[in-house]
Amino acid sequence: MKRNFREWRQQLLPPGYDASVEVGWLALGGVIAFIYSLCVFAGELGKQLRWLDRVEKQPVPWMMPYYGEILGTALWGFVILAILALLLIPVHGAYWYQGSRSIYLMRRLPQRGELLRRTAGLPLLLAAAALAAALLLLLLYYAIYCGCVPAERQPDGQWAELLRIWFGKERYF
Amino acid sequence: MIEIKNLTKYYYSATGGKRALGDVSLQLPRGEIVGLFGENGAGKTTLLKCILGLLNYKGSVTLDGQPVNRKNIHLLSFATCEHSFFPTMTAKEHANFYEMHFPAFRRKRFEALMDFFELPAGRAVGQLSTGQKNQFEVILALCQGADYILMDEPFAGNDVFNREDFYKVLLGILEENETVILSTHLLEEVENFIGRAVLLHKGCIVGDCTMEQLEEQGKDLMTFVKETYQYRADRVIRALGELGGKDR
Repeated sequence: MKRNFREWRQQLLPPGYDASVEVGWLALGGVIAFIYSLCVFAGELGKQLRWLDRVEKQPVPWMMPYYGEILGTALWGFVILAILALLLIPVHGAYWYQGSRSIYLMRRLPQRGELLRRTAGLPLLLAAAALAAALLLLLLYYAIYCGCVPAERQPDGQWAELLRIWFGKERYF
Repeated sequence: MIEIKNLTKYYYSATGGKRALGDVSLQLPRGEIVGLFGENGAGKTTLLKCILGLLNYKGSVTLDGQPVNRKNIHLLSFATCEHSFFPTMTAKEHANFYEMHFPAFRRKRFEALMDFFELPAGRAVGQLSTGQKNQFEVILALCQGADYILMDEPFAGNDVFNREDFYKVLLGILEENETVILSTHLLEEVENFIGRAVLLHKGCIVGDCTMEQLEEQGKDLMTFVKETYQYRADRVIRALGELGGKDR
């Protein structure tokens, strides 16, 4: 199984290319991005929940901030990771010119797309994995938000607000 | 047959365009061993790269009547002095890679040639000596299972015995339908090996004749080349004389 995965991964890389170091660094980046997201989200949610606890018994109606506001920059680590993974494309592209001109062989392979697959395959896969992890955490954190915040304290239009925060005027970077 | 019609190639740079090939037309039938000769910068490498589709050009190149594309590119193989193997891979891994991408790969021939040249199968090709790298490059080109084998200065860096061995092996293993187009400076060495000589000068074909025709005319290849290029034997003596005169 492990061997099959390695062979499959090798199909997405230039022949003879050792990607273990860069995959290792990106995996470490993934762990750091996850810890960072957890710290940012849990920290902000905890702070707001403590505040909510304090004002709950008071007559003034108080609403919890939007999920997007609590999320803040929590997932940006994964976006940075995806960008770093895409930067591997030119690195893999340069491999065809190192020590020989293997680009000549790659360009005359009968299989269409082989050169592109072996140049961009793994970086695209890693970038997609980083974004998929971000999406997964987005949903997971939302479920936590919904579970922790009473329904009557949650503002409406959470996703619209999230999109406005991400792509609208407010930005977190 | 490889048919080249009105092939023109320009290299463009910031300082302007330079013509590398000008209106080259050539027919290379199956089963021939063709020597491609010319001075440095004559356009030999450019011509081979245009045939392979590695460069853009004006004109047409057809392979058995069809333009060179993904469907017929496997009929062409290429050995270059720049090398086109993967330096970190072993010979054995190269054989597997070739077998995967070129179904006509000749495993038996590959193993025989590896044995003959005593190349290590389990060592990264990038760690081999220059001569061994050249040998390996040519072995891959010969074993791909292509009908047209293009070689660009494949023996640069090999000693004379090595090259001699190669010519003999090549003549011994090539089959009737295999065509070799060999670009080289080693005129005298390949004289008995090739069947036809094509001469390039400043991007144009200036000579094209078979070895039989040369034999009938009682000329050797070197004489033909010198005549075609209008080589002046007294050039060196005159130049040395002029240089000597200046110093005095």
